[in-house]
Amino acid sequence: MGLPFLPVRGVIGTDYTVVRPDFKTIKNPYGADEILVVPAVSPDVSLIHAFKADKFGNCIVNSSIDDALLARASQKVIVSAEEIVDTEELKTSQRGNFVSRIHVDAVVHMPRGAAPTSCGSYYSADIEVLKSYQAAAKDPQTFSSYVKEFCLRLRDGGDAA
Amino acid sequence: MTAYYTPEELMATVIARQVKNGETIAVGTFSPIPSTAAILARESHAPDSDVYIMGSRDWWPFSEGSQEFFNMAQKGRFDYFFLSGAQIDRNGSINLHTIGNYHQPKVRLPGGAGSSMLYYMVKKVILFKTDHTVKSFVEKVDFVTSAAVTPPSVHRLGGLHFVITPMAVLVLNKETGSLELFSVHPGHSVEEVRENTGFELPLFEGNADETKPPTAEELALLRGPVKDHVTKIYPAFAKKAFGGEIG
Repeated sequence: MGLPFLPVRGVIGTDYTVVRPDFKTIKNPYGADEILVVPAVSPDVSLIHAFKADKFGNCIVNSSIDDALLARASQKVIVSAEEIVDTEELKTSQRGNFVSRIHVDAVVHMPRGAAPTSCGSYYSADIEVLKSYQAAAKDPQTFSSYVKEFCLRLRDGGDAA
Repeated sequence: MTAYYTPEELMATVIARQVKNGETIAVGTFSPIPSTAAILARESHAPDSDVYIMGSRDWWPFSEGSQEFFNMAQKGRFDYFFLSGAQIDRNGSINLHTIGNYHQPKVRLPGGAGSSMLYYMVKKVILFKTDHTVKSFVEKVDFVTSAAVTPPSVHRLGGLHFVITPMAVLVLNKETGSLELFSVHPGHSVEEVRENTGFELPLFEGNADETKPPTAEELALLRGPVKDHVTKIYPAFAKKAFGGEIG
């Protein structure tokens, strides 16, 4: 949106205003109430995992989360996708939201790129892997072996989980 | 004669009975009991109610992500929403942030998501808690993620309708701003509820009724069509929360 801040209902009277001094209470200039304003979130780079993308960066993303909004809010956008398809196929795709190439800087073909979390109708969350993450995260040493096994495998030439 | 029922079935039934036909019920993440309640209301006396359940494909008619959902809430379009907290305090404030000091917490919790707006802008918010202990019902929460009682200078459309736990229903006394005991579930006593509450708990308007348990009709709906729907959203919950055949 290119705006420095937005007003939000609620929040005043909670401890958010204690730990977030950047959340400011102002008088509503158009009413008698007080209202909270919060600074814009303007990411330098967003990584978005799409269902399908074409080679130009047009893509279909999950419509139940805010990926399309994130793409429009960011300076740079890198899209990874389960499938790389022709532009025509994107136009007939039923599920998900369309994000135009005008917001996208790079496309990566990355099947199972959302694993171990879920990805639409492609795959469900892998509860066992998530549990092993939960256990591993308690200790720096076990955490780094988790990262090695599940996160660095692709970089090191292995297959996705 | 009262049939056997689970605490989850009782809690869902009490919530469902509140809904009037045509009211809009929105349910957030990790909310299996409210989801069960919303679907039970639809399957019984509120067939024209809209039900939105975050994380479910069948019950999520939004096309523009959670932004669309939260904007609709902020417009005051939801009659019901459901919140919980690791702690709930005397004034109905909830804590989803930290146990202990915020900057050096004993436990870091998931955070508030939209609760600091939803509690203010949904007409009737029901707090649900699957345990009722002195650790979860405290005099003052360690961190106020969202509040039931706020200054009059803040625009507030709605707020706390009631709190439901496996033992009791609590309501806010608007004059004192404190929670009071409204009803006690069958099998529990006023003394037991008070022993498990970390603040003084007066009886609402001087007496606490027994919560009405699910009827045979309600249990049949719960264990039939409602369970089928809930299984698609919360399979592990559905397996343990619903009782068996009514004998």
